[in-house]
Amino acid sequence: MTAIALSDVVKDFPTGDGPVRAVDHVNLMLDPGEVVAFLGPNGAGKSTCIDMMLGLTDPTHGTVQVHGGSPRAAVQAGRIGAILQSGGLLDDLTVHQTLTMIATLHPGRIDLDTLMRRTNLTPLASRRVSHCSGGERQRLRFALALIPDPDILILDEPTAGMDVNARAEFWATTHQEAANGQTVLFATHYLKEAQDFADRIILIAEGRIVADGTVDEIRRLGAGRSVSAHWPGWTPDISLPGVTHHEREGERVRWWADDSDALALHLLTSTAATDLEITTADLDSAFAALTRTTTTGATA
Amino acid sequence: MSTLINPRYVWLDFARQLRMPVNLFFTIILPTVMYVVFGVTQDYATQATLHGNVSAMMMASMAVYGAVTATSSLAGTAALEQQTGWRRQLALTPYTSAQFIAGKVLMAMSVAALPVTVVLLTGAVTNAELAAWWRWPAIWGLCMLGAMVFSLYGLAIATWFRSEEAVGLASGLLVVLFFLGNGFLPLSGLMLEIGRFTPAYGLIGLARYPVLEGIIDPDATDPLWFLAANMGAWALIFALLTALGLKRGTARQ
Repeated sequence: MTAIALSDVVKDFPTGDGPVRAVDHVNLMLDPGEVVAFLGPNGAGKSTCIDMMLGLTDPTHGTVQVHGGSPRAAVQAGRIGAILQSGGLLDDLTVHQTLTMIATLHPGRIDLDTLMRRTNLTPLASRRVSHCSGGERQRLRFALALIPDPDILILDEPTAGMDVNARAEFWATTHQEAANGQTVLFATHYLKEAQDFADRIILIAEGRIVADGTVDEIRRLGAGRSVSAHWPGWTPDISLPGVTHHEREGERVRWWADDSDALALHLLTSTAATDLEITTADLDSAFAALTRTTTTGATA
Repeated sequence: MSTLINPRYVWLDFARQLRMPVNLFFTIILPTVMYVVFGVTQDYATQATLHGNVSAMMMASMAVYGAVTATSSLAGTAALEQQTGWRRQLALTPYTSAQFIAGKVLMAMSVAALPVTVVLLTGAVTNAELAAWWRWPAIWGLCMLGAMVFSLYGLAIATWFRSEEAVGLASGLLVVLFFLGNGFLPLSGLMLEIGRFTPAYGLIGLARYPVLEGIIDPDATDPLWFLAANMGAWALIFALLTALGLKRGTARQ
């Protein structure tokens, strides 16, 4: 059974100027145990999709199912947990008091001491939330998400606003938890996070899914390989096989082409170009290219 | 969860309020001081009324004022929970909106019991008099009933306004409502006619009923059914507003 399934989901928000479509016919399936990055620029619709997966809001059209049932049923059964982007805490409570209050809302006895140890909160147990740093509060949110021992974890921009060390620490802890076989979906606009931590990336822009695959598959979907060479005399009217666009870098020129091998061969044998360099596209350019083509209306 | 109230959560929520001494001070001490000033120290305080004296009437008024001040401060805490996203955190648990409302009402009433008890005790040891012993717990009970209705008032404001506005609105409006409800100075003429339909009128009339049985002045009496209908109607209105306000609650704002 799929862990999360969105079928032809549409979400419109009413505004003064007419409804705004935040999610536009999204189809999405996550199997149990997958670790998936939900990548997209701000306003792409990631948070709206997440809200629907958690039962916080309903789709305008289409269905959202978690473990084959409604999202709210999954929340009540304690099978899905989420780390909110920010807020979600009461300043006057201590870390331990916060955990205790939320734990009373879930059935069964929950071992808070072990939970605090796993998330490195034991030394902070009696510290008020208002005195906790951003990274410490995020650890608390993580612990809160783990209280019902969920099978699915949804992280909404979990490291936004964290410095490099806090971020690394967060992912180390998350990695440990995910080793238990949970399904993890995290929304981010940090490409490196998506690359380092996810098995699969779903790219979303303007409410539509633009790409969905492994890191390598996405990279290949993007701008393709580029070839650069030292050729100060080159001008755009000198035609080269299969070139889609180019960029000057001082005395070097970089060309993007569908068939980088053919271009490289041509450059080496038939032109004055020297000092050739062939590079695979990185996720950055793939991402930029895929989201750019959406804006201009062309198909990816 | 099949039960409406989660006792552990409500207890923890109540304990939170006890850790805010400044709020507690105003909730309990202020009505007590007002009772002493308007009730005990004035010459007319010992004048007899139908079932007690004027002091007892002021005591009932200030007790119910303390009770509803406590429950309307619910506006502040519930609104704050909305703004900090705590309600979104709660939405990620089995806790339902119905349980949230029930829990907040119960917690607010527990806090409201404090000023009512303190004011009544103060009255008992000073110069408030009632014709029969059972009229004391009757006043207490009627004040608590009023507190329950006005916790819905606090919730209704909380679910529609942002935090800082909510607290100011709730307490400021309460003073006006109490005045219109004949709670501070006796009203007459047009003001009284308008005041009879405002939210606090039934509340105050009922709290004073064991002392006055609805007497306003030598010529006019409010029947019990009217006071009860006033409070019942406003309870329904506040509940409806709360339900509507909660529907917009958990989506991102």
